[in-house]
Amino acid sequence: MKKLLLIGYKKPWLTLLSIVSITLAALYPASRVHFDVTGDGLMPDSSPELDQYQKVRQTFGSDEIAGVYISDFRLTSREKLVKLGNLHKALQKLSSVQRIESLFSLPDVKLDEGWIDFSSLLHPLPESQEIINQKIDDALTNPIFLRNVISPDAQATMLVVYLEDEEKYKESRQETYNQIAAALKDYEQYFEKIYQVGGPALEVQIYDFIKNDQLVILSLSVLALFILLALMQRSWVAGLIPLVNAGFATVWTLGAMSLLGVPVNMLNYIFPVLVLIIGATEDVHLIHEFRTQAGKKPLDKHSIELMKAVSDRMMLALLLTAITTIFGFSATGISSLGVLQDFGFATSAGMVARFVMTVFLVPALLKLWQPRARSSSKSSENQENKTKSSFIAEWIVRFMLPRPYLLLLVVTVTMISTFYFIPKIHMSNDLMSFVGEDTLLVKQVNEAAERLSGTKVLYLTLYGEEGDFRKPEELRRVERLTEYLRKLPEVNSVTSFTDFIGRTHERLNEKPELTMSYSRLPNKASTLEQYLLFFNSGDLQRYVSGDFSKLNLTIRCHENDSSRLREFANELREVIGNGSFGSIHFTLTGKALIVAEAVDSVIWTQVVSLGSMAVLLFFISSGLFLSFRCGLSSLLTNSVPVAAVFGIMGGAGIPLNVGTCMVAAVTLGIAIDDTLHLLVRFNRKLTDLKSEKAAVKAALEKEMGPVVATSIALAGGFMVLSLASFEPVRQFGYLSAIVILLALVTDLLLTPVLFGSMRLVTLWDVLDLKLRKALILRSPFFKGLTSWQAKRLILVSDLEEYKAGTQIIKTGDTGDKMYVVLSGRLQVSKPGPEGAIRLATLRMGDVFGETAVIAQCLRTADIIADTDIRLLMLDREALGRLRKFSPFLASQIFLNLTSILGRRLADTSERLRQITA
Amino acid sequence: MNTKSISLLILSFILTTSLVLAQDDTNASGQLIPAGDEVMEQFTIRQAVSSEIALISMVTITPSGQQETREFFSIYYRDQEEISYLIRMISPEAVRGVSLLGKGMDGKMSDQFLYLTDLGRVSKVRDTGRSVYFLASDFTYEDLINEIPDHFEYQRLADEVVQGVNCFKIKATPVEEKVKSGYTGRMLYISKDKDYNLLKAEFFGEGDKLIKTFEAFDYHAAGEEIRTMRPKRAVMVNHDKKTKTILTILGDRINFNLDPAMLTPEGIAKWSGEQDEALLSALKGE
Repeated sequence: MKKLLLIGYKKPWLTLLSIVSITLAALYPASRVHFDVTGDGLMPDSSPELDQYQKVRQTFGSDEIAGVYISDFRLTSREKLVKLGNLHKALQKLSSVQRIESLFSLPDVKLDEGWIDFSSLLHPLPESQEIINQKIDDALTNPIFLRNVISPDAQATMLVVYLEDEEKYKESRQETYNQIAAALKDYEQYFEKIYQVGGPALEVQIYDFIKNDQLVILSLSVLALFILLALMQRSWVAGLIPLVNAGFATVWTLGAMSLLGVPVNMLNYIFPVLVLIIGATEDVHLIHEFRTQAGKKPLDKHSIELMKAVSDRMMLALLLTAITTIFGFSATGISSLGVLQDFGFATSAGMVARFVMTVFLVPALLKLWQPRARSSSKSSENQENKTKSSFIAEWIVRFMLPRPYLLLLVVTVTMISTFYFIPKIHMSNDLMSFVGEDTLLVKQVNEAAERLSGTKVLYLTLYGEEGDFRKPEELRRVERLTEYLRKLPEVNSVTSFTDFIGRTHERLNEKPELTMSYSRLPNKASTLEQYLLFFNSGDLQRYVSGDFSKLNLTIRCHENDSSRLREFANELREVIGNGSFGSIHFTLTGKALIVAEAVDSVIWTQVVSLGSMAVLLFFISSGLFLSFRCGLSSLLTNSVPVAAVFGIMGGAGIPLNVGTCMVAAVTLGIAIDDTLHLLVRFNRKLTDLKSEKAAVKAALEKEMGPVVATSIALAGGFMVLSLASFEPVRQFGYLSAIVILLALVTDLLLTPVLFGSMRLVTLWDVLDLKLRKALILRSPFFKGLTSWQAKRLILVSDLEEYKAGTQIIKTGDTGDKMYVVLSGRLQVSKPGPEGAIRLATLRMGDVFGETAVIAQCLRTADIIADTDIRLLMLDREALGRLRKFSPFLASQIFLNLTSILGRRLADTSERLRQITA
Repeated sequence: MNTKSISLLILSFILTTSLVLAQDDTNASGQLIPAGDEVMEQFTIRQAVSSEIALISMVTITPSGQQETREFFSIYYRDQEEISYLIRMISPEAVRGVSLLGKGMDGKMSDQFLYLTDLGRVSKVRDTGRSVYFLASDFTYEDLINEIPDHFEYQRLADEVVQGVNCFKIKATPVEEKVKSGYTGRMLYISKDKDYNLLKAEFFGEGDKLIKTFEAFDYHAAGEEIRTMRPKRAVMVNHDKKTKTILTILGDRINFNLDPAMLTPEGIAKWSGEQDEALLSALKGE
């Protein structure tokens, strides 16, 4: 694995050429990447509700609709209506428009002085203003018109434009928007307000947001990062390398997305920024290490040895960081929501591409660039930073380490507050609220909704046998239900098949009163059949199935709060389901409702992504440091900020949505990196310094700078996302920044406290330790241990090396340490009147001093190194630690020690027996 | 009587007259001959009958594919200058007796009367509502009225082959000042043989968007004394509403005696089951 970094360094031109070639090959598919601006990704990719919705659409027709809202104080004047009629015609001419429902097209059967008139309300437009006024008054009592195409004050209207649902038109909704916009342009002068709402307008808005955000956020990130890195590294090339890498990685990712059919959507469009910011930290580490190593004298900065040294120190960290980050992002894709799946793919693929660039391209560029070596002499700035780090490290060691309970108290209080606020988090999955209340489109939609009907369309579909819904008694039940729905405060309008029949019956029977309070339906089935002759089945398609076994009520309401919409739907289900309107088999569906009900998927995504991330990190930390306690502790350190952010969300009213549900998994994957860096450093310092406190201080001094710098850089990068147009992206940005900063605090405070009393052994320490098999076989101390356990034991203990002639133990001294000879030879002797009496020779595997560890007694012999030796030293504290953290291993060691002591006792007894005999 | 409307498509099952061999060529100035209005004149001549009756089965197909079948009589009657036509539903039972009566003179728009049995009265249909669909089908009231040639411009375009038959292609455009049509234009495909059969018609709306396509099949000689061609089957596809209507002639007869009193507003209101039976017998030749 470590050789990976050498490839680019050895063959820089070939590496560069390969990467550029792949990038060029990826450019074409990348340029054709599909944009999903529909918001369909907010629906689960498969669910019973979605299936139901699809069936409803299949039976009752597509709901691909654009709306043209027009308001004017004099809207119903003939002069304005002429213009409106012309606009209707102009829109009808558009190729992507299938049909338009408006005052000029909706069916309106009526009987007038013996004449039957099938014409639409205002088509043809009457010459007389008086007749127009009568017709408008008529429309205001007609539920087919009221709030659907005309406002109650008759000053606003909607042209409901049904769009062709063929693929070629679906793919060019923006073109449709532009065509409609061009048509509207000619009429702007005639009306106070005229604008588009509905699908194409929203899609164009989303597309514009994505485009503008790329321009603003990406440009800003590139610029800020370049300046920052160039200044930090004091080299514009060092600032440029991460940008080049991010650029290549972005093209690769876009190419892969295009080839695999993954679209750019309202969430994953930020992946280039994430790739840039998060990936840059790794490049910086690598360049920094390279320059540091180049500054060390023995290494020629152009030699392969230099990169080997860099690789030895960096490759594992790079790999772990990449794994945790990639997994963090891909975990967000474990969702049934397409928008999150696409985000998970784009970001994790981006991070993979980024890792490839860091591993292969950076060494190649370093070879070609040959940067200045970092001077090993301390500059005044370095000295100043070091002083600051030392001060903080000193404070932590002096103040925090002795008071772990104080920190625990603070953490507990924080967590209690957090858990108080977490239940207050509300869920949200609503496209309009994602676009933002302040945008012009949403303001326009709200205005149209207020004066006419809301954009949330629910379909209440009733099921019966074939022909049921052409029976007057069944329709009367439906009529009662329709009237009930119309009285609900959440409902703006309801359109039902019964309205068409009822209105026709009312008109042809010349009912004098225009009221909706009585049944308007005919009593006889034959009358109903005769009325049906007035309607083309296409006109009724949205309301009743061709075989009259299904009936569809279109309910329009204005509720942008998805939780509230869900509640409303559930209340409705309960009321209809409890038999108030007889036994009805029904479904309640609609795109808005499915999206609203997908909050369950959001919660599920949150649970799964966070859970899987936590499990992964636990195993990585546990595996890396060969300790479950370590795994738990590192998880705890990083879970506190994540939990705190959930508390902030609950307290500040930030909803759990497709953006915020990603914060935990993504930031956990990033924040854990600093913890691992700290722990690795702590482990190394501990080996060197033999003191936990000193190791903590040294590790903090060494790592604080990079940890603080990367955390601030990452937080800054995430904060840039708070400039995004989409609410979930903004929330994702600033909440992630908060987690990163909080994680910095817990890393610096909590990590030392939790790990200060641990003796860490890294996986690679164990792997690197060369242990002779004979040692384990020969030594009674290692009896019953596997090679792996023996290595772990050695690594949690202290290794001591002595030159030949060094006295290790002196007779009469008080000792509390025992030793195992790992290599070399020692002589055991006792002082005698004629000099030292040689008692024994100790070799590899022999144990000595064990009695002192148990009994803390006086040493009874001198032990001197005969050759250069390596000893494994254990004291009571080390044995205590072993018992605490590795009880299974400790039990075997204690058994072995008992056996050794027993053997000694038996030998002593035998010697005593021989002397006394 | 002048030309019949292309929209007389329902009635075109039962209309047609004599034979005229069509010739086409270009004149000295390069214009196609015969011209559009000349083709339509020949087409009209072949439709001229004094009376005609047909029993038609109509299957309407909804956008989601469900079918509904209805049957009706289609009657055409000419008395001097006055033309009458009637559509009278005979099944299903619930709509039996529902009638639409058209009355008109040559060169003048028809009056239309609607009789709903359950309402028990005849109502005159307002001229303004004639572009809406009738009989739950893809035919509009406008499709049923007499076409007045003066209200349209006929332009002959390059010939096309329809159903393997070489056809005149005539573009019919309404003259805005004279007629309020629901269509911005129609494209008529009339066979170039001696029969001048209407094989296909396309109906266009705003933006010259194709709204409907009509096709007639299986033309056969319906008259006994003169050659009068009628299709056995016709299909109207509504691209706008995604629906379809299939008409099948179950029986037809031309030039027979009919009591003109039956084809009046009063007559359709008093129409009895016996009269239906009599018509059915007439169709069977009894």
